[in-house]
Amino acid sequence: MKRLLIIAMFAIASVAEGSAQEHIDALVNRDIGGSRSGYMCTKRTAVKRDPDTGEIIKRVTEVVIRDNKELAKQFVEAFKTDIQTAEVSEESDKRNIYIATAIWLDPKRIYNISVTGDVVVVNVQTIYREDE
Amino acid sequence: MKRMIIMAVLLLAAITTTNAQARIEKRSVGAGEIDYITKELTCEELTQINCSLPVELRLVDGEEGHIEISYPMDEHRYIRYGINDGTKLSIGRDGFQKAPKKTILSADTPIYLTVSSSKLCYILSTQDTEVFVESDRFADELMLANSGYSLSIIAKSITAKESIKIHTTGTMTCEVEEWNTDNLQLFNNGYLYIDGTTTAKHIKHSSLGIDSTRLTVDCESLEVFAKGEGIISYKGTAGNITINSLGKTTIRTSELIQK
Repeated sequence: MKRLLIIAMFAIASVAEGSAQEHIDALVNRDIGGSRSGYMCTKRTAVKRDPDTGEIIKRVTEVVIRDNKELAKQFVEAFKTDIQTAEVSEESDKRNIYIATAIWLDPKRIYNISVTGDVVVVNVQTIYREDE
Repeated sequence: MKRMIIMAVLLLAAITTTNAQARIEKRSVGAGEIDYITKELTCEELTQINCSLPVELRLVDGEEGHIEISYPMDEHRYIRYGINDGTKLSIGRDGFQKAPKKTILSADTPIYLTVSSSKLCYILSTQDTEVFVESDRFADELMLANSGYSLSIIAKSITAKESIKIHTTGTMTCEVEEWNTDNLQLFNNGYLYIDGTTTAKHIKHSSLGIDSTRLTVDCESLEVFAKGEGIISYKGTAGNITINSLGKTTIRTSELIQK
């Protein structure tokens, strides 16, 4: 029984870790646009590969959104929820400006957000291997 | 003298018959039938087709450069077609004739054009044009352009090794299953419907109009710029992805897996 409990706890812990940034990721990967009034959104995703092996070293996603206060609010809420599971984090929420950085390890994932009014800038980096 | 005249008349008649190479056929239109004149041309270096009248174009296998054009007999005075520079086939109104007050030419009663060429690199439509690609033979670079009315493209596959460019300022619908090329460029300033699968390594999509795009990709780079309306959906795998949205267009990339 004790063993079972330990295994169950480990399983729950691993699931929780696997979806540590699920709220942020869901927003970053969401479909763009579709709102009645329309808004500005730029999304860039790039990968850096090892030129010899083709193995992915780093994955970077940047999202910039303007003119969508509702989405800005959702991003802030997602960060506030997910940051609690981060290994390292820094958060500042003053005078309508929200800035946060959250880092998870193995692989190293660095999530940055800055929200100023209805302008949201999110930067997500997943580093599989540090550059030599 | 009389004999000479008779001989001359017979000779002229023979020349006329040889040169005309025209035949008259009946085609079913709606409930009735109308007479169509069919003529054949040859252009071995045919690279461009410009249609300024409603045309149903069929790209088929056959003798290189063979062209068959068929148009309503009642309109023959007002239709002008020909080959320019030995490479361009143009179909339009005769500039020296007044356009008829009432024309029967329409998408339902079009000019029928059958072309067999492996060097085509440009098809331009400024009227209602339907293109049936029965033989997927094009040059390495292909542009399909639509300005004004509608251009429909129906094909199992379209192959142009280096690039396929699609420009529309009208209504363009592409029912094509496979777009085989290295570079695919879509520019929409009207309405664009396009679906299917593409092998393109680099895809650029600029939409200022209404878009209905559903493409399955496996590319190195995908760039989308949207400032209009509609739905743009990309799925499959992609390397670098850049998306710029300034309008109401929904851009679906959630089924796009990054390589």
